Order: sequence, then C-alpha cells, then structure tokens
Amino acid sequence: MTVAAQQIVDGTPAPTAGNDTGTVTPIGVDEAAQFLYREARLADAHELDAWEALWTDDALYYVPIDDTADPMTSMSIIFDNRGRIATRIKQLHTGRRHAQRPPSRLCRTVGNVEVLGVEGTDTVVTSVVQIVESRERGTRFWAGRVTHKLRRTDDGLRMSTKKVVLVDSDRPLLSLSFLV
Amino acid sequence: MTTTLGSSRPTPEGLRGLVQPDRVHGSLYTDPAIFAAELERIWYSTWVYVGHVSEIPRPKDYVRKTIGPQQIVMTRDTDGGVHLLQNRCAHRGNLVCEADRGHSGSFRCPYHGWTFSNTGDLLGAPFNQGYGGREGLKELGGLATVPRVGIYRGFVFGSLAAEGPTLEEHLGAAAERLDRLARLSPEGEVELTAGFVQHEVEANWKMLVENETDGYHPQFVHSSIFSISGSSIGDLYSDKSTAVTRALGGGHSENDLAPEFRRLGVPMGWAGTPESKIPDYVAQMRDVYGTETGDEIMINGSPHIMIFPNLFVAEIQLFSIQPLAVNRTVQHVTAIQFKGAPDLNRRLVTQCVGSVGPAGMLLADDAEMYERNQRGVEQLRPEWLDLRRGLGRETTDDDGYTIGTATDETSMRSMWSHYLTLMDPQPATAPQESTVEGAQA
Amino acid sequence: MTVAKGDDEATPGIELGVVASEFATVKVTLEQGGSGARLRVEDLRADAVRYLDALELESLVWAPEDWWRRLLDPSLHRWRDAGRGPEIESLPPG
Repeated sequence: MTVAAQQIVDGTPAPTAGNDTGTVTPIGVDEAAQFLYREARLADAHELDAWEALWTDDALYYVPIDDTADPMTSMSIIFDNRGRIATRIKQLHTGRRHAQRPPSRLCRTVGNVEVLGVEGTDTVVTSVVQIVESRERGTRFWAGRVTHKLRRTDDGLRMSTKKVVLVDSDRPLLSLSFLV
Repeated sequence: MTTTLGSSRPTPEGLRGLVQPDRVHGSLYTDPAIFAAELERIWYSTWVYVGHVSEIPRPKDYVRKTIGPQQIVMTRDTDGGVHLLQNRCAHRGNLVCEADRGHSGSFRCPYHGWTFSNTGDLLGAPFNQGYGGREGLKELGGLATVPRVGIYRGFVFGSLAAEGPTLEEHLGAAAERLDRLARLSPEGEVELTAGFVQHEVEANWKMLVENETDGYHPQFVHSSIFSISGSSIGDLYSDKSTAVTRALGGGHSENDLAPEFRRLGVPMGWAGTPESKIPDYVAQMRDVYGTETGDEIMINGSPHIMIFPNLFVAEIQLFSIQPLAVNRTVQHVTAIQFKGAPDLNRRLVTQCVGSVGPAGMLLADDAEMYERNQRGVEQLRPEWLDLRRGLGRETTDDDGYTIGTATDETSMRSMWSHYLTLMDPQPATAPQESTVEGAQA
Repeated sequence: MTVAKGDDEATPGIELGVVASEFATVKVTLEQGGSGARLRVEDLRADAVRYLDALELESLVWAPEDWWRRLLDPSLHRWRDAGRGPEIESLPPG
C-alpha cells in the first residue's frame, strides 16, 4: 500500500488527479461499483480463471494483520504478487486444496463504495465487504474494509491492488481459504 | 472395554487404559474432563514455551502471551530480567493489560487504578486510606508471577508449577536443536520480530502436536502445492527418503531431514533459496564461521522439531500451540528471523506468509485435516486411533534415541508415552517405552 | 496536585511528539522562550500540564528506582483521600 492510498484509507483528503492522467478517462463511482460487484460475484462463484483475469501484471493481493506494518518484514494473512496469485489459483484448480474441498458456499455484499482519488494510472476505490461462508464445520461471518486500485486497460477495467483489512485481522482466525 | 468417562475427572487408571503402545482412544481428543486434567497436569505443570526475548528488547517493554487459556504478560525489567506475570489484577481480577504489546514499567488497572510494577509488585492503590494508608498496602498482593521462568537461547519458557524438572532437563536433546537453529544466524541469535498470525482450528491440541512431526501426511495433504510449485519437500517424506523420525524423549520429536539436505549438499538448499539470492548472508556466514563450518551449517539446515507441549520449529517458521478448549486450539505463527541476516529474513517472511496462517497454502490444508479429524473422532466407532506405523522397524541410533523412517509414527508413540508420565506421574508399573524416556538422561 | 496551566500558551515550541501507552497519553514539547528552555509535558487524558526546567530534568535522571516506584503510587498525589490522612506522605529515604 502506498503512502497516498494509506492516507486515503485513514480519512485524509484524497489527492486530486495527477499530471500523468490527462489522457485517461476518469473512473466514476458507478463504473467502479460495477467492477467490484463483478469481482465479488466471480469470487463467490469460484470462477477462478475469470477472477484471476481481473488482475494486472503488477498485482498486489494483500490481507494484512497490522495495516500499519511493513509487509516485507511482518507477517500478513495474504501477501501475494501476481505470481503467487497464479499459484493460489492453480492450487485451487488441483482439486486437492483440502481447505476448499468442497468449496466454501459464499455470499458477499459489497457496499459503501467511494472513489477516493487517482494515483498515477490507478483510481483508488474503497468499499466494505461482508461475507457469509458456509462449510460443514459451520457458518462464519467475515467483514472488512477493502481498497481497490483500478486501472483502465485495452481489455477493460483491471485491478492492480486489492487490500482487505478484516475487522478481526489481528485476532485468532479460522481458515480463510476462499478468495476474500 | 468401557471407555466412557462422562463428566467425571479421569482417573490415572482410566487414562492408562486409553493410551496403549500401538493405539490411543478417541475420547482423549473429545472428553472435556480429560482436557481439564491436561490443563492441570501438563499445561499448568510442565515447561511451556511462552515467547522470545527479542519480543521485548528494551527494559520496560512488555508483550501479552499465553500458557494455554492463561493470559500472561511477559516483561523486561530495568535490569534486563524477564518476568512472566498473570494478567489479573490482585484487587478484583480485572485484566490489567489490554494492548498486545507496549512499553511501560508499570501497569495501572483500568477498573480501580491499582498500579503494579512490571515485576508484579503492587506500587499503590488510589485513596489508600481505605486500606489504612500506605502501610496497609503491604497486606495486599501484587500480580501473580509464573513461579519458574527459564530461558534457553532467548526462548522463554514458563512453568506454573513451583517445583519440577529444570528447563535443561525438560529440553534434553531438544536444546541442541535450538543451538543448531541459532547457528544459522551469523550472530548466533534468533529474533522473532515479524509478529504473529493467529490461526484457530476447531480441533484438539494433540491433533496439532502429532501432525507436526508426522512425515506420513505431507504427500497427501500438501500434494496440491507440491505438484504445482515443483517443490521437492514431498520427496523428503517418502519411503525412499533417508530422513528419519526421531523420538528425543520428554515428548519431543523431530523429522531429521539433515541426511537429505547433506545428500543435496547445497548451502541453503534446505530453504529452497539459491546462494545468488542471498549473497550477503552467505558471505557473512562463511566470514563468521569459516567457509567449511559455515557451509556445513548452511547445508544441514534448520531443525524440524516439536518441543512438547507447544513449541514447533519447522525450519523457517515457528508455531506456538495454545489450547483453549477440548476442541479449540490457536496456533500463533511467525517467520523465524536470524540476527544479522536482513536479506535472508525478508525472503523468510514472504515464504512463510505464503505457507502458514488461515490462508496459507500449506497450513490451511493441515487445519482442514485437524478439523475433519476432530469431527471424525467424535463418531463412536471404531473407538481407537491407530499408532502402529513403523512399530516393527524402529531402531536405536548412536545416541540411544529411538528412530523410525521418515514416515513412521515413532514421534507420536513417544509423545503419548511422555503424556502418560505427566498425566499419571506415579504409575503402578513402569511406563511403556521407557527407553525413550531413558534416552533423555 | 499542582499543575501549571495556560500561563503562556503562546510560547513557541518544538512538538517532540506524543508518548503513549495503554495507560497514559502525554504530549511533550520543547519550548524556547523567556530566558531559557523548558520541557512542556501535557497529560492528554486530563487537563494538566507540567513545565520542567533543566535542573528538574537532571534531578529526574538521578532519582533512584525506589523514588520512581513511589511516584507511581496513585495515592501519593493525584488520588488521595482528602482530609482522611496525612496531607503528604513522605517519600521513602533514597
């Protein structure tokens, strides 16, 4: 997470569009929300390849324990670059990812979508997610504040960053083996 | 046999019937009365790993820790001494410390303001005339301290029993494995500075302890990640592997993978990290230890050891196991960091984060197995869990320890043997597999 | 407890930062003004300020451990039973 995005999440005023975004059509809140809903639906439905295709090559998929810590020197719940996202998806595809066999039944709500500003070529979007996960062991409720960085590409909108700060990120958590 | 214990406290005789040389009874994982007895006889008696000195580097630093369900505050006094305090106000029993960690030489209870030093002494209470002034405070207690604190290589252990074997006696051969771990640092010290991920499982704590050095499961439970990452870890736990499972006594056990690492003969091959990626570390190790010894240390690698009842060192990561209920356990996991090795440490963090924790590509699958196992043993029949794998092919190594092949259940059998000596300290007959216990001395 | 308050809010200072734990939150400012420097220490959880000059700070450095322990007693100053005991309990001998 860059400093700018961090400030945004913390509530400081959003930066205005940078100089190098002149040719990019801004991403509005409706367009951003449509992307977030689609991403949520693909994750819920375990449409793994379609979900993976939403990422840019410089992807960062990050679920911190302590949102203020440096992920290079501190433990995280998920800290995936593009290569590790691919590994995660491949593992799910093997059918031997036991923690997702059978896959969790998922139903998530994405809300409180706001466009916070622009960082270079990316638009920073914040939202809240609430997820109900049902497995044989029982039903679990997950919730967190999400930051997306969305980028307009020739293939449509893509995400370069997805950070999910769970409300209970630094407490004991049961396995979280679906795509959060 | 009758094995239903109901809600009554299990008797030692009953327990002896439940733990046999080649099988254990399912109720050991599901009976709340047995869990209560384990807290008393194991978790509140023997040495339990609590934390590491590097988590409280400066005087007045403190960090919250646990011994099973017990809340502990680990503190560093102004002289550098380490203390373990129970997080319970001497007045009305309130939790005194709320923050996970902090820096304060004294603790003030938020309920009525009773204030304690970080060594547990009561420094004062508000409006003390109600207690007869300052003199009256002498009648009042401070924070309870864990009666025995022992430190080995920076690893802090606590025993809630005032008397018992020393930490050195408890660790036995496990101590040498911690030495081996520390030698991987060019400065000879481990640091636990990366923070902990807390992974909860709905399973009995012994499921985890048994799994940690179970070399039989990786090829199955972790085949998904081995197959796509091209990892050769799976091969270490096969019938062709020269690795051994070793019972170290005291309930401790290890998967000794060093024979395989030596066969590979590549410095840092055990970590899957080529020398070229961590040139500073490798150079420093050779500089400090000399090329020959440095390479030997880097080839032999890190231990894979379960130190009973709750410290598991798995090469690059450290787990502390915390039982909360008969079917509820938390694993506190961190990446091991080596003092003076920043380039290696960063790789260890990212490698560890990919593997462990709730979303870890290895540990989420282990957790799934723990939870399935817990639901399974809650079924009535067959009542027993089998423990006989490799029983007929165990041998004794040069140091007198019982060893099995990489996939044998030698480690579990020795854990249960030690379990009985703790749960039933004065048996009518000699404990089974006394050779395992004897090896410790 | 004697606390100095608002006597010269306008004194320029370098805000050194907030020293906080779960037990206390204190803002520390180095003030340069009048005829010398002083440290302004403000309890942010209550409306209380203490100014410390160089000699007072030096004395703190030399105060023995027992004195500090005594200072942490809530009954010593801040939470005393008014009129129910000695006005000030004497500090133990160093």
